Amino acid sequence: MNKLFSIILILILTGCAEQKIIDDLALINAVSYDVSDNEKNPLRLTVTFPIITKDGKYDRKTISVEGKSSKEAREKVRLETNLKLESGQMRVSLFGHELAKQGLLPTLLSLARDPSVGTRAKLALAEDEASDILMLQIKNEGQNATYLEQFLTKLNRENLRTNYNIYQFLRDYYDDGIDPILPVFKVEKNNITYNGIGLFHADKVVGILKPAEARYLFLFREEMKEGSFIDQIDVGEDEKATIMLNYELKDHKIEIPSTSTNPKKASIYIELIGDVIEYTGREEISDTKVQKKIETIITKKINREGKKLIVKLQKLQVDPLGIRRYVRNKMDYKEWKALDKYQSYQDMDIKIHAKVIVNSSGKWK
Amino acid sequence: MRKNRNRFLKDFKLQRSIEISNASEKVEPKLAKEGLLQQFKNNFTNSSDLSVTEFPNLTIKIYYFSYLINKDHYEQFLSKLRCITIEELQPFLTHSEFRLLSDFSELEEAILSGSAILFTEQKAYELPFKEGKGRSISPSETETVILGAHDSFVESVDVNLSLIRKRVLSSQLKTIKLHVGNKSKRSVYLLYIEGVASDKDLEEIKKRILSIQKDGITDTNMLVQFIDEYPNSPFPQFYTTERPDVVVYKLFEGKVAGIMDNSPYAFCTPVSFFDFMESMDDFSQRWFVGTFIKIIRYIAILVTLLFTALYVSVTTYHYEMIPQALLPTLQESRSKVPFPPVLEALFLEFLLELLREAGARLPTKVGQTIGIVGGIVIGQAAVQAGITSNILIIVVAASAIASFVVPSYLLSGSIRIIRFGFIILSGFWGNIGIVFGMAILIIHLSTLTNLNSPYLMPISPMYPKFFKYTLIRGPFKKKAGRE
Amino acid sequence: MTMKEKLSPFQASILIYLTQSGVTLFYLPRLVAEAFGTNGWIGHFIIYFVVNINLVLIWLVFKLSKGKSMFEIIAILPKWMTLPFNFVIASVWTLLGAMVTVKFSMILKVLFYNNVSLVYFLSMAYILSYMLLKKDLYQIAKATVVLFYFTVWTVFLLAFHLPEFSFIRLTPFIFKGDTDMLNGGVSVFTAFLGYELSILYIHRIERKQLKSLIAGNSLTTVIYLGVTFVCFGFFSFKQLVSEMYPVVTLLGYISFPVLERVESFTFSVFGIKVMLTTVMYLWGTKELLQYQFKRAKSSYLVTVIILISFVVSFIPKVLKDLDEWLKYISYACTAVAFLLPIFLLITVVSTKIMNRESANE
Repeated sequence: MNKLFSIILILILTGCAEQKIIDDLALINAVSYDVSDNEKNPLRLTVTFPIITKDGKYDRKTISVEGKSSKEAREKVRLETNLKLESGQMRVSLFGHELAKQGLLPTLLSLARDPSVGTRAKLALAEDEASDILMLQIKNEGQNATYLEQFLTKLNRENLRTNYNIYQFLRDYYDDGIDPILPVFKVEKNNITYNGIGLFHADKVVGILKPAEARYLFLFREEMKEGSFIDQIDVGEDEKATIMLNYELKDHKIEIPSTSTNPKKASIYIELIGDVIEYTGREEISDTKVQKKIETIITKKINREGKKLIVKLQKLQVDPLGIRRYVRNKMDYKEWKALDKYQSYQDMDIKIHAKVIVNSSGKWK
Repeated sequence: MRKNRNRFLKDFKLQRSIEISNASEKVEPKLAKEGLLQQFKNNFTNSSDLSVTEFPNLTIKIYYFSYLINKDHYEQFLSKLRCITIEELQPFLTHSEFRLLSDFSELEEAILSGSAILFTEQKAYELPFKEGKGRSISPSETETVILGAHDSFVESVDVNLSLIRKRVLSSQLKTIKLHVGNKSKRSVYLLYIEGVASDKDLEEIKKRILSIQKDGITDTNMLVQFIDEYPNSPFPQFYTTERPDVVVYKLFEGKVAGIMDNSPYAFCTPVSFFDFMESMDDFSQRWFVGTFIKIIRYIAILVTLLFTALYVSVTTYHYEMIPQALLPTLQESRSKVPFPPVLEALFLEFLLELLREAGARLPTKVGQTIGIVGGIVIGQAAVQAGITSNILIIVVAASAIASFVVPSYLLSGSIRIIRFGFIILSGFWGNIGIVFGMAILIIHLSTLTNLNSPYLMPISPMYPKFFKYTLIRGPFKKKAGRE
Repeated sequence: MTMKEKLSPFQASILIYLTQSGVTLFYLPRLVAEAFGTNGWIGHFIIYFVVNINLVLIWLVFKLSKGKSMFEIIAILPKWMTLPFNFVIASVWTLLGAMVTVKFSMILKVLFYNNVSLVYFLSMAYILSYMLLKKDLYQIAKATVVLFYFTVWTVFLLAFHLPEFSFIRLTPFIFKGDTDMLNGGVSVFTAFLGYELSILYIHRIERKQLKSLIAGNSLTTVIYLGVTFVCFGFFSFKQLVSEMYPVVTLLGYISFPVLERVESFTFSVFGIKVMLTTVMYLWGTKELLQYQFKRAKSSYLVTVIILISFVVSFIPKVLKDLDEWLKYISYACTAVAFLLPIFLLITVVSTKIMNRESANE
């Protein structure tokens, strides 16, 4: 009996899984998708992967091809490298603006369907052509993918919750109460820079918020925990001052009055407690009265700018704040299903109730 | 010393009946007393190293192996003997510690264990002039501790017994003498504390030892392989130690210990896997520290078993598991290596085993040099020549160091062997291979038994009460009672 | 075979848990979402309740027969009568045991080992099964407990998903959406199958028989509930329905500082659970056949069973076929789970009545 057992054991050892030894692989760490001018091959795929040169240096190779679909294009990339192409280490996936206007879902689903692609791969938009970003050779900046991933992680950590990976994008796409967003990058002066937030209606991008506007957007999103507020405020007649406030988001809630079947109103409450880091005004910021004054000014500013932003979002019929989720949670299932969600969202009256408290004026009086 | 010895002799006499019941022993026909000398002469033909002293006036002959007895004591005895007359001889012999020998097997054992034999016309006496020759008690080399007692067993069974007796000051400590083998009758002493050890265990181990038919068992570590239940398992099933304090500790835990003559090792049974993970130092430390060290040992076992295998599996099959920050380093260090990771790893592990074995066989000072030469020079050169990668050197070194953390030398050897299995499995199948290996290992371990007691005792079957004493080193209880 | 050690209640519970939790776990949250709709995780409570009723039935058989084993109960029936029943049950169990392994191997192949023949994974699984099956149930239980410790830590990986968990995503709707309560409910129920084997070993549990059975089932339910609940708050509802193996995605989302995407490892570890499910079903088959063919050597039987299930494993060629197979087999198995204890209860009661009558006469 044990003989049979050992024979089978040896049999197992004769087989072997398909080897993917790391130094024989082209480990794609970033891809980008664009719409190409070619009518036969409408998709332009650019991949970049690290290679090790013969003298042992770490370098990268970027290949750009045109194809009918993302996987078909990938097959073409395979023809252009001596290494085995693998996408398990893909960190960043970029989409061109044109493609994003047409809809990301087919491309995204082909990523989600591929078991070797991790769901943690981050997504971003390019303001123009995404391949430009990957093709760009920044001085002393080895891998564009690493650069982008670090950039995205940094944005996410600092104050812009733009951490959108495949899983998160699909989650918000499939959720009928919220719309996904993606950060936008562009090439500027031989550098890759962050340039706002792309707003999605379903899987199509419909608008881009500039970084200044995007700051307010994140103020109203619930994942936000802390951040900094830098803006010019009018402190007196004809007097402007810049203020920087490092704040902590104490309270955040979205309330829907629970009376009607089709809620028409929503209120966003936020409460910020912050320390003043910079203030260019002439008054003594350590003075409580001045602090009170500044608090009201900032509050007003947030309310005003926020309202402007929300009206803009409503016009575009995008809901990155997820207000419809709260609407849904107040409604009956049948009514919710019957509702024209975007229309009702557009018709809603959304109010912002900000509250700002200045905690201290830093370490200088 | 002498006093102790006498006490032992008494004990042995009590147990004599057991020896006679030994089934494998050929029962010598009881001959007349004159026959004893004749029998002796018949059996010890061609023994040129046998010495004899004759006293024709007293009609006695004394036979002995000159290198086994203590010459000074013997000379003293002879000078006494010269002074007495034939009438005084009989009282002299009966009044002293000389033992009257009744049959040949007794006589054979006595002379071979270092006594001189005095033959009168009718009788034979054993003159216990054993020479305490041999190594003196020295600190243990294989089971070193930092705190705690440093003495260890030596090759002399008397000394070993005395080391244990000195620590258990109780008449409840019982010793049973058994014989192993057909021709060369090596004695094995079973030690237990009455009322603490289970009789069932004692009977079982006695039965097993007596059923050994094999000659030429030279050491305890060899002996236990004749009495374990799973001879084909790579794991040591009996706990062997050269530390008397460990033996005493195990005795009070209700275990049966055994020592063999001319072997500096004692075995304890029934034990579980976790006994091999213990060191006496754990008890000297505060229990926080002791527990921490124990946890480190479990991690060390896992590292030894799986670290290299994981490296092979990740670099050969599961590249997606490598974090981005680590990827460039790993890829760069692998880029020059012409072999697949599994060969690279096996090569390095094999080299390391060579180094370890060479170090163990060579004298200490040369051994150290080997370690340094092997570790630094070869490692560095191998990386520069592009035969292995830097990271692998670190991985292999870490798993080698981890293997030395395991306190039991026997277990550490087993684990190192099994590690090769894991490396090969991971080289063929990646992660599923590792898990497959783990499953085989766990199934094997959980079905092992030592003296019918499960090898993974407090875990499976589960006794959470004992976790405190085995898995970790729990705080001591001040209350009396068996732990 | 003199060693007939009794199982401790803990061992019995673990045995039940590991028999129950098998390959279905990987797509259970999707099944639940398809069956019960929004907040479908609550549906587990219903199934938990149903399973417990079944366990009480099994316990009643044990109690009324005063601690007799199933085979002692049916011993009053002639062998030719029990043969077809035993044979049908044995084949259902063998098939289920084999198919569960095949399903796991196929998923493994799809996800991680694309170009590898199934033969290898199946032989690995059957080697392990053979190692366990040739031993007594007590030995299996001992190994099971250690393997339980080896696999149970994967549950704690759920903690890594808490940052992405959101209560708002759960929605206040209960059992809404495209639900398929009956068919879906049964397919969720099949995830709980495995407890019915306890009828073969309930008499070997030392004490607290009912409690340990229910404890085992509760453990399964708690783990299923935890996984499903986290999935409902982690994925949005429509996403959950479209995820083929949501639990694999869940595992893949974990990232440690030194290793990320450990799903290929954790998934393999889950394979041990699947293997134990197979082992228990094949063990059940072995016991049934051993009863029918008392003279057959048990090691011989084991080899035959392993070989048969190995061959059977190659019948379904693709996942789609396999799912059909699994569906019907688990329906059959569900039927066995309910009918067998009822049948035994009838036997026990009628035997009692007959005995009483004969005593009265």
